[in-house]
Amino acid sequence: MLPDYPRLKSDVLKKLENTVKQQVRANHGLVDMFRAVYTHEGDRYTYNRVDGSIHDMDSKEHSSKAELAGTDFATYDYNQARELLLRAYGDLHKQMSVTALETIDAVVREAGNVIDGKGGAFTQEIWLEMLEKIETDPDNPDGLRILANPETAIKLRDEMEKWSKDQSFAAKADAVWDRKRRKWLDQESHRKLVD
Amino acid sequence: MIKKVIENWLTSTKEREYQIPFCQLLSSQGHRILHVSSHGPGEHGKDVITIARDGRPCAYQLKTGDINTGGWRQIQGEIIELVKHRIRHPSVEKKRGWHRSYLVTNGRLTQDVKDSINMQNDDYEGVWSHLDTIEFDELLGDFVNLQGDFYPTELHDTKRFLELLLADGNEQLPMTQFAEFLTSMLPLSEEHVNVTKTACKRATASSMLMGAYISQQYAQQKNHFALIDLWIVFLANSLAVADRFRLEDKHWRSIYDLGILAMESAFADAIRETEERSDDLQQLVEGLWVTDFVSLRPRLLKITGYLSAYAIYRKAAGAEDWQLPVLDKLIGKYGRLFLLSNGRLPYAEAAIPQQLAVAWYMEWTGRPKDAAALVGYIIDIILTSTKHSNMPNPYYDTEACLRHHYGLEVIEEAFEGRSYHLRSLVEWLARRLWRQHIRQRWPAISHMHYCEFLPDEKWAYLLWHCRKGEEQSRFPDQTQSWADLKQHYVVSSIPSTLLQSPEFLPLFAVVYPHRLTPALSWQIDELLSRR
Repeated sequence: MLPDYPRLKSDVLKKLENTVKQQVRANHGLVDMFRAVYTHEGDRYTYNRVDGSIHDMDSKEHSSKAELAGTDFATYDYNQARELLLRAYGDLHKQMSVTALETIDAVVREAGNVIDGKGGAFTQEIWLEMLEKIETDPDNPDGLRILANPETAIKLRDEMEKWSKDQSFAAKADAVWDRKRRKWLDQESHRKLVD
Repeated sequence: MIKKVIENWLTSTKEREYQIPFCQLLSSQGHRILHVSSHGPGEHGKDVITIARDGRPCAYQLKTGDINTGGWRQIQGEIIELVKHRIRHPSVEKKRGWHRSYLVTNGRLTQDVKDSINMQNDDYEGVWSHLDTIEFDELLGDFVNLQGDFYPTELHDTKRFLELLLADGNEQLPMTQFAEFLTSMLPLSEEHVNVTKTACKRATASSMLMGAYISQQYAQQKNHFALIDLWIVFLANSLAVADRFRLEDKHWRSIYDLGILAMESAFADAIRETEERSDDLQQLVEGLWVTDFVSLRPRLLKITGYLSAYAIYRKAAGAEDWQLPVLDKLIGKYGRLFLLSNGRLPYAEAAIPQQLAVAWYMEWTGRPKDAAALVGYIIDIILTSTKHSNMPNPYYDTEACLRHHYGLEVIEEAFEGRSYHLRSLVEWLARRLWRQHIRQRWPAISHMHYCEFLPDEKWAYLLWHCRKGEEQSRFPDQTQSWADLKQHYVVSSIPSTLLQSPEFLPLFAVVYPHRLTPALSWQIDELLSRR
């Protein structure tokens, strides 16, 4: 073998990865929201749902490539390595985002929490129907979060600003929130010890 | 290479450190071990008493290093006791005549000393027991033979073994590394299917010797708690072998009992040192004092947790003097410092079995309310810390958690809303009818996942890490029946060898924190209520 510094290179890679991961997570809000849970032992993972049913957790592998042509090594430096890793991690997070969205889509359809907008605009009626269907936790300091692509997000924000001046819509939305809060309080009152 | 390792070990070890491996050697030669002195000079000069294969009683006096004329004179008193006084032990019949006496050293005797021994034997033939000697070369040969083929041959295992041999004895025992190394030396992998009982016994005996060689670095630094960890890992592995292959007692019990002796010896030393240093908090500072804020509280928790588990072990084994005054002193004087968080101590689930051991000890020494309050407090810490993902699960040891806390290393896993020990703690309170402690906390508890790992094979529960099994994550019932909380466990998840050595359970729990399951906690309660 030729002279090398494997430990040093490993340490530099660790530093690069830490920087890159932070940057990528900031750009991939969906994956950044998810908590990473590791399986330390065993070869199976099961969990139960609120209805008591037990399910297996299926795992899916994601991978991305980092490539460099032989000739590029002449000018290859720290910054280029960072760009390379950014692309690779970015690709990885994109795959994970797609898997996450597919999983959410499947779960939501299974639960029946789907509203078909039929390709039309995002209306007040759709918004109110959505509010009715979703699980909310008034205790959650983050409140309600909406995940949308950038274009839709801008349109939605503009619409919601208009809606906030519509008193009749506001009254309907408040009524929905009030109903949901009472429902949540009722649910929470079941969290108790009984004989 | 193994001969060099044994030679290095034998050259630098002291009599208390080679005593147990020496007993292992005698056992392999067909001796039945009757007595091993736990600490200090043996009674009537006899450190080890055995019955040889031919039925003749034997007594051994162990020494360290070369013995010259001056050294011989210093030990004369003990030697005379060794040869002059007959063995008094229920298993030794008087009609057997004189026992065989041996002076054992890991050094060499000078010719003058050998001449003195010969003269003594001639002068007192028939009056006293004949004295034989065992020196370095004979010991080395016997240990090399005993090790046999059971040593690491693959490069990866050899590297791991050497790293363990040369580890810094001041540090904590590298648990994962040591446990996995020991498991690799035993027939505990999937490929080991048709293994004879004799092979199991030899492998276990050899792994004990491996443990003895690795223990040397820690023994030299008087790192008693690392030695405790080491021997408990050995004991768990030997129980795993016995359980997996359904071995009869004769194939594993004697080796296991020697491991118990080694562990008890380490505990005796730990208690003695703690007693000497417990008057003043400053005396409990260790090593680099400038940064001891990092380790003082975890140190105090580990000391009290382990000693509590040991006290419970002794109570379960029927000892009358199981209570430890030094433990009462530490808990009374410094309990607030390390048992109750003041926001400065990063908590980890790996420490919870130690805290629970203290709670058990408090309960059985007449403080059940304090014990319940402590358990309630731990539950509150779990509920608060996991909300902010601040409580690493028990797969992260104290050091990993501290490194993360001080920004030295990153733990990327999230722990929010999950706990491996919450259920054990809740059911602990329920069994004691502390309904009010649970009722007020139940809404928050019902939001948490109870996590537990169940290995596919019961014996694998005794391993540090298990590849096959189910990791379970369950919500408790939102509306929880009080009657169901006090459930009894059909302890099918716990290996039968562990159930047959129930006093070992609390020690296993503190050293293997990720194995403290609700069933194990229930079993310890059952054990203590019977004693």
